[in-house]
Amino acid sequence: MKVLMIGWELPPFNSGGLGVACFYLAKELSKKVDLTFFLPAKYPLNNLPFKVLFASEKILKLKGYLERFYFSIDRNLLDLVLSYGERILVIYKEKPDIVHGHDWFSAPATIFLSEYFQVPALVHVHSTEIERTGNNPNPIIFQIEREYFQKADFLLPVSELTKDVLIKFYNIDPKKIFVLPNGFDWDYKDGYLPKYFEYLKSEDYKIVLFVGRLVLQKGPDYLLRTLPLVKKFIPKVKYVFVGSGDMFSDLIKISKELNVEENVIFTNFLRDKELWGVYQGADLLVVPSVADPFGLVPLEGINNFLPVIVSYQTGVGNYLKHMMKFEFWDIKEMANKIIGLLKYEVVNKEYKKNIYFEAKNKFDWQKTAENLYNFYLKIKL
Amino acid sequence: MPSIVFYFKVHQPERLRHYTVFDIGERRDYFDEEKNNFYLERIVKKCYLPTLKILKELIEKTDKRFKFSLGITGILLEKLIKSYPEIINLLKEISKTGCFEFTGENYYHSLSCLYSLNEFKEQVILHKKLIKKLFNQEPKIFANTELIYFDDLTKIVKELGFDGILAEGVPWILQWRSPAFIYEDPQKNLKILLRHYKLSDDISFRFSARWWEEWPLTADKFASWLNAFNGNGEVINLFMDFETFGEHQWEETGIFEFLKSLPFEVFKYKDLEFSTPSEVLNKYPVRGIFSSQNPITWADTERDLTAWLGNEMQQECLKILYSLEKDIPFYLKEIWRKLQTADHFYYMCTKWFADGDVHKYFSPYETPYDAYLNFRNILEDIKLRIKESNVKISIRN
Repeated sequence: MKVLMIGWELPPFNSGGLGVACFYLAKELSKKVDLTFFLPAKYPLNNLPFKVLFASEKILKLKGYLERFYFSIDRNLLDLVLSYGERILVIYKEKPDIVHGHDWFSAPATIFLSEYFQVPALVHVHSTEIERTGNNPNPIIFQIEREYFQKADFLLPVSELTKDVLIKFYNIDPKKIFVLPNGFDWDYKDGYLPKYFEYLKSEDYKIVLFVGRLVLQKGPDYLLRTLPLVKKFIPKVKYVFVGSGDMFSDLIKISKELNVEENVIFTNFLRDKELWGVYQGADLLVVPSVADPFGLVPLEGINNFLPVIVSYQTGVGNYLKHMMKFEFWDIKEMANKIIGLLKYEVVNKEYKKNIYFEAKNKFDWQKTAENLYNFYLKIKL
Repeated sequence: MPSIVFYFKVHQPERLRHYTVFDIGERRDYFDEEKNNFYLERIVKKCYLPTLKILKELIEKTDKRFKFSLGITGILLEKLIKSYPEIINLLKEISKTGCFEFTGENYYHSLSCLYSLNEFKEQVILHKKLIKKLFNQEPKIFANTELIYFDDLTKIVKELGFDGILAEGVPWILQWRSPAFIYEDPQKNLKILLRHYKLSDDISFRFSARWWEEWPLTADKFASWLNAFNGNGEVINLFMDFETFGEHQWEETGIFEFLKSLPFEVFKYKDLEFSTPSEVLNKYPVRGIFSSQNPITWADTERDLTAWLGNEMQQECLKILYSLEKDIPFYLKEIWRKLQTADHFYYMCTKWFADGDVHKYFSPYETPYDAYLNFRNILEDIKLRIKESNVKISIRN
């Protein structure tokens, strides 16, 4: 079976979970099908375990799509998105059995190529504009999504939450939606523990971690607002915010207002060894997303043996029975759980042990790829 | 002539309200009255009332040949006296027929027998007194929380005035032996009636299970299975939760019809009869020794206590709770005892994957960790109140 997969980014040239998800999915899938993966521009990528082609020879210095186009969309990007399909056709001529794209920026190309080759079009939905913006979408992106999601033969959202959004906001027929949860790479990676963390630990500080873009969708402000409550019970506590984004200055302002600046640290965006080190040095990971279709961060925390609590709006939580959850707006309950997990050792220990085994068993790229392959077989013309 | 012994355990926990760290030292109402009343009303309507009515009718319609026993916890009786006197009246009428026996129970459905024998004794005596007061019956057969049994318990239970005890017919203890006889413990303190787990579970678990090759279970089929014991058994002990009728098995499954017709199907076989536990103890001799040094229960496939104290969260909460025994002031004693109810620890059980969603179905919490946090915060508050009471006393002195 020949699959033409149309992507946008791959690690290490990625801004978030999308590139990571595409990498592992393509890697596992390429063991079962003849896969060609497209990127919009050329990157110095070597030794990939699957075949990658570039739609342009130019090396584009693209920032992450989410970060860059969160509030505005520029002409160049729009041109790139709308011409992506034609550019692929210049290089790729052989008829595939299926065209499989990822998110809105690949959707027009996916539909264009599926019409050209007369084969089914699948659009993998890692997140929607509605979710990314807390229902305050950029009208152009929203329009592109709605038009091409409707034109696609099948949509593959990564969670039930996103499926509901597709039905409710994009008017998609539930019959063409197939939920495909992401897998996860469970290799443990040794990280670099920052000196400052070592100091904090020696002083018996508890470290509460946030990892994600500092944007509305991820709800860092809600977590920050728990700090005065938590501090009352655990005076030696530090909240560490890992990530960058346009809410940074708001967060600074809020921490001043709450009079907790002393207890907050911002590290900016971290990756690889530095990121793993932060996970490994923390005591608790909180994921207070307002809307997060899937959410790789909770799994990264779990993989580093952290207790992780998530909002009900974090897709991954729906699949884990052991997962402790809260409403993102319920500051008091979030604080209650944070304090409980920091204060009572046995629950902390029991929880992280069980959540690790459950998550590891449930999220597995091999299984995800297998489910996708079976789906391909079902829909192949 | 084999005797069929029905025993139903009737219990409802007092569920706790959502209690956060911020409530410690601030709120002292631990129990969720609204939720408890809601659940109680539901179970009274769906199970207690209709089932008791059926059982009473069965006694009448069979000329008192139908008999059964029932164990009802003290905390539930208290609630029923207050809110559902019609249930108490029904029980009074049934107990007067002579076809019915109250078993002795642990008043608070607690695990006290594992942590404090003194506390265990007091709770059993409390229950005995309440049954005597309400129904003028003196229980002679004891049925512990979740049918917990271990050899060392028999001496205390005997001292409390009981002749017999109900226990699980654990297959790996019985081995080749049948649960359909009367046993006694190694010290010969008590006679033991062993639950026939297969036939009991056929009703309580499998009745509506469509995957089961015997589905649908009809009364005549079940009666024929019972009759198969004729000649190789003396007692067939069918022990189950009373909530089997109308709650675990909904009315729509036909469970009430099954119950209504079972005695008549049984009486088609002239060698079968119904008896109360005390009757069979008098009627049949002891046929062997049943012994378990470790506690056994009627729960899960393991028949042990792992559902209540299998993880460290449960162990810690129980340890702290019982460590308060010597300091608890009299005005906190009842609350302290209500916190001993086994259900609070059952909700913290993490072994969902092995034996499925049974645990989750019965829990008011989303996860076992939420259950722990709630309970643990309340423990902190209780500790605070004990401290306060000590301060008061020292001021007075």
